[in-house]
Amino acid sequence: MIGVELMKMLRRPRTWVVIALIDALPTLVAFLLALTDVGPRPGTGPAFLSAVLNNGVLFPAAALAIVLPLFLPVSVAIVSGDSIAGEAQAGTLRYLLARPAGRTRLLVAKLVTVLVFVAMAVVVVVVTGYFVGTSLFGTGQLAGGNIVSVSGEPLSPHQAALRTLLAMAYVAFSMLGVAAMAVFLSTLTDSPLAAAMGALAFLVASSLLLTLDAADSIRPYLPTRYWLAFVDLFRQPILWRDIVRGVGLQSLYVAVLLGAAWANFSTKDIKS
Amino acid sequence: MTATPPPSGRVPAGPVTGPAAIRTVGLTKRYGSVTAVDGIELDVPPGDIYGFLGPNGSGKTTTVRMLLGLVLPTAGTVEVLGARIPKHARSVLHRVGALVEAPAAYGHLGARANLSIMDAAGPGGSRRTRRARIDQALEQVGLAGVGRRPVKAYSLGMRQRLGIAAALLRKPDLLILDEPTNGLDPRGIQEIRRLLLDLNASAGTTIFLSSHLLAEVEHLCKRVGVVDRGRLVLQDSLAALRAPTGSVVLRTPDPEWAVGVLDGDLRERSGDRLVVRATDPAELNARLVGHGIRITELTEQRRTLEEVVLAATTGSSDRVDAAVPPTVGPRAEVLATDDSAWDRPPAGPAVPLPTRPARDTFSWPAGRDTPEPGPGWQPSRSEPARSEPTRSEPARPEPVRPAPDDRRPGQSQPGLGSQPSRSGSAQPPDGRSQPGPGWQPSPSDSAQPPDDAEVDPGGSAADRAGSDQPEARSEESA
Repeated sequence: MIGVELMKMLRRPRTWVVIALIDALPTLVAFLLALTDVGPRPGTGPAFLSAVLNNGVLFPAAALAIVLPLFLPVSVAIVSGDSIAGEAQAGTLRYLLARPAGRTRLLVAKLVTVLVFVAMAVVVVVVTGYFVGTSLFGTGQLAGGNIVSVSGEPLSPHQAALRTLLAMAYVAFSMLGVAAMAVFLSTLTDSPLAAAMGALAFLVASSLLLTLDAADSIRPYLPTRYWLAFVDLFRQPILWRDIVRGVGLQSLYVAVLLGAAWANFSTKDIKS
Repeated sequence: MTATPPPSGRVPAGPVTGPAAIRTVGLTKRYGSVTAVDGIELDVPPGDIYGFLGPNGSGKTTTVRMLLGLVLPTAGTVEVLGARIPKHARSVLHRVGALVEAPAAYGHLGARANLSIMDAAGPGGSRRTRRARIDQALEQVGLAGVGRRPVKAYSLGMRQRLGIAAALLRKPDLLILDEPTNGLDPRGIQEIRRLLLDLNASAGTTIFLSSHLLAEVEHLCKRVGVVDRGRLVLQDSLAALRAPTGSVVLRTPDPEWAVGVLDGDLRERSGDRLVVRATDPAELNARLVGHGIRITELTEQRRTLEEVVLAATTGSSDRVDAAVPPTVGPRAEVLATDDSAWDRPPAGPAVPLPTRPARDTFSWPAGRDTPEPGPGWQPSRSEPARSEPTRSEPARPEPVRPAPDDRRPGQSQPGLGSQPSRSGSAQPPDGRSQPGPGWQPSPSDSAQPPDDAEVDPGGSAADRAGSDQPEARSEESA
């Protein structure tokens, strides 16, 4: 079943279009930076971009920081929101369940598919970021190949690679809260659009509350609160506090929302 | 399996071997305060072809969905091939082929990819035989030559064929088909009918056919169940339902003489057409001919399935009449309808009929014993442009204004009082309330057009070249 769902996602043109679009933005940013050689002043703009001009090895992390706030969650919401509601809208859900695929199995297969999609998107962004970054900005040979970490200490290329991998895992994990929300909404409605938009509304609300001082007391519980904590992975030494909290908070959201999705879907009357 | 005796008064057709293909006990589904399905007791023995009939919105599809574990019953039990649904769905549903409402497929993929995905999505579909099974199923439904064209480019008829192919893919023991010929032209309908009969005869496949196309059921089924407003009002063999009425219909160029000879046995006369009470047509014929009366036509009168169903059901639930003052009561619906043969018979029983109604208690008003062929024939619904196949009938005659004496004194325009803007017309409040669309007789024999629909039973190559059927037929028919 998981294999079937993966094949369905991979054979779908939309999957590749979305990934290409996610990838296009950081690539465009890289070209603009390389052409103009005007980076944002340190401390402004997306994370790492000011450092990228000296060393392209940091560009994968910069690319993640570019797609993380909007592009990645939008694409994850679209794919996850489509998971059950898309089948319902196409009418194939009733045939899958009458096949019988099994409701829990189908839901698990859909979740795994979403995970794979997130992983694919992150990997593609990082890999193209690496090639684009190193070819446009070089590998920082002037500084002896070392990378300046966010806290100012140098990082060896080996350390930088390891931390980029950790950052990929953390970014992918951060997306699971959105994915779980969209999957849950997807079991509620027969409209994939409504599910995706609902999940995005959830994110926008969270981002908005983060900027509001009056929402200070609930800030630690907002799903997007610790998203950018992956920057801490590039400190020397790594600042784990927010990362650990981010993983914990996302796990909580994922567990609650997926539980709700399962409870709803396994007892739902399929009338689509 | 719980040994539930069949409800009294219902006759099981033929010997039952093994567990019933479908058995439901007290099957009920409520949505809030609305009871969609109310205590349905289906009993479909293995090897049967069972027609599940009812007006639109009577609970057919909800019942079908409960059989497949898609909708969970509020009360009652479902057993399919001897296993409880939905609890043991996984152990039997792969032996069931289903077509629920409309076919569905992934539009960007071709027929084979779609069938392959569905086959791989559940148990019982061996990967080793998949290719061969897909080829065979496509061959059976006449899609062998579709190639890799994506399904979104298919016509309605081709989608329908693909849906049937998906149902046949694992050579199921039970086929649950909801409107299987929807979107097919008369030739396609004939092909599918032949395919189903062949599967039933050769492989013993039990077929549960849910339909509102009476002709479809009449041609295929051995047994029928009629559902009305969520209740099973009738379940019997087709032969029993269509038993002779005890009358003979005859035509004669000498009606006057005949009337004289028949005397008290005459039930009804319209021109040269007489309806005579007689149990033995041969004896009646001999008697008339003995008096030198010429006979042009003489047939034993049988109730058509349509009459049986119309008598047992109360009306389409997709028909929405305007609110009427309560004093009008049950007459309101009659007043608002037109006078075609399609409105329900007056005093149609709202209560369950006895399984085999006494012949004398069932009477049709004059001129209605053989309803007109009616507006139901649809000339091929396979054009892709048609988005709503059930609305493709020709325009219906305008409803006539009810006779003045039908109106009760002191009451202006029954059935329309709440709509002042239309008070001058007896037209139903909107198009949906016309009695037609839900309840078509469809291509019944009498209603088929003279030439096009005549299908050669031999099934020549030209015969099968339906418009929704792709090329590559030549090697099959050779």
